[in-house]
Amino acid sequence: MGTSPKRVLFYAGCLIRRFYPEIGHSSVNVLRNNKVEVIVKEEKCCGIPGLASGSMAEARKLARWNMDSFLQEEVEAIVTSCPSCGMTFKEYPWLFRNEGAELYQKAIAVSRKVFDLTYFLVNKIELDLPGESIRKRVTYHDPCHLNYAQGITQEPRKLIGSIKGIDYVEMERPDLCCGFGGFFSFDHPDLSGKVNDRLIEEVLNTKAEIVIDACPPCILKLREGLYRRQITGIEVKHIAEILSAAY
Amino acid sequence: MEQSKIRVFRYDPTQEEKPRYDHYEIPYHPDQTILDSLKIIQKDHDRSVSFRGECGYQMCGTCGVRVNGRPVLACNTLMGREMALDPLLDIPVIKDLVVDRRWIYDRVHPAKPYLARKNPFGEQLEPIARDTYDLHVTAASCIECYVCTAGCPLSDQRTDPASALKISRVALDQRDGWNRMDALADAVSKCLVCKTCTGLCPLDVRVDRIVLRGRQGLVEEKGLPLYKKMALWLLQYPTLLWMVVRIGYPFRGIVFSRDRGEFPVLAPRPFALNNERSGNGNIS
Repeated sequence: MGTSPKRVLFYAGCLIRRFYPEIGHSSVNVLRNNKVEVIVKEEKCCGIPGLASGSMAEARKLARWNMDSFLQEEVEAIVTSCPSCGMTFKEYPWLFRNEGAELYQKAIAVSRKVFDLTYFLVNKIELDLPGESIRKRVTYHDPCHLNYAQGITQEPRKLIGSIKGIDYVEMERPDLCCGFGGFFSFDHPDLSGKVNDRLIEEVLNTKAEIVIDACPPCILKLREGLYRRQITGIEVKHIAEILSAAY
Repeated sequence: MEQSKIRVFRYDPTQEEKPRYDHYEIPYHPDQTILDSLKIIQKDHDRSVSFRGECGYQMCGTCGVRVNGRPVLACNTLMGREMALDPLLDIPVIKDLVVDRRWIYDRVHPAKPYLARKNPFGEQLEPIARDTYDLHVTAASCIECYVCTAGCPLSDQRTDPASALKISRVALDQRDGWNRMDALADAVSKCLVCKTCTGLCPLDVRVDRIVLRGRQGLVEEKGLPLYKKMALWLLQYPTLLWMVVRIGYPFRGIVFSRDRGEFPVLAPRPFALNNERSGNGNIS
């Protein structure tokens, strides 16, 4: 168990801010119930659309705005519930590798402070999870940007395992991609759907009633896939929503 | 002694009509690699089991297999108590775990992945850009095991991170004299940026960064499509962006066909806390 940061900046990201505010409120609720002071600031996009499409100049503009915004605050950590945003913040040093020492140092400072909510809860504070959350059969999907990009796989499972009454079943391949890929799903909707179908099949094999995910873009794509295939009776929830229900 | 149960994909296309699985039990040693296990199966159980594996210390890149569906190098992965071993890729199998890699070579070779210099070598040492140097160092670490290719969610579409790495390496080198933009676009445009390739790479090669550099090269050469340009420009101005989204939301069905799936519901009010701080520093 590491030191206990008391004051954190919560970065919601575009999807949570505009489409899934309930995930943001749940995340803040879990943090506050664990005696963490949370502040939220006006936000701009983390820069992943520019980074992923090769328009590094656009990504850098947003990154500079975010770095200045984050570094103005006296916080011990920047916590996010969106692994795609978290991964992008951790890529800032690479983005600014040729942009001068000052910006590079800022990027390093930001990237070291950024933690995914699941990692923060397990490794940075002493988590207290009272009560029961749900009594349903659930499974967990490893988002690529949390699993492959940040190496976080055990923390979400520890959190789910700590919830009383939950019936957890592991997918055979929980690490499959959801197929979203930002602009990719607009450029290649058919390929995106094919990749998504493989994950949906895995979910169906588990006979789970709830798919827990830690990534809003994956949640968007999974819900879209279930709707597209007319599959009912399976909910897709963010891990913060499941945890928040335990308080 | 505790036993390990191993299921191995068996198929000889010259002799058999369809593949089968053979089951073996060998002593379980937690510090033994999968390659060691395959050698034990071959030595003690079945001499006809075929697999590739040369050096045993992740240098030759030949021993890639799928273990319980996940592509790995057999020489640097420890054995489990229950394992299903399959060929690395869904491409023609030569025999058992040995696959025919020619489709990968066929992708790379037409792109001529070697430097075609604009100018002949000079008498002095030739400075190159730091980015080009980094690109070559990263690409040179690749041992061509194709674990990344096998793990790529689009591998059945014949997309291949390893080829993207090779093509980007020369296409982005300023000393190169050929126009390789079409080959580069072909190699990097169908990428989800999921980073599975990088996460699976046994040598931690940052394949994703090379793909992103490739895309950057394409944008510098050809520019971005208009809709992406507009979207990226709007991201700089969140208030304007969300005004556009809110006005355009009722017409989403025109752009996003309903049969593609459910479109997320735009929240009536954006996520915010009571103590939200407004504003921040200007771009310095």
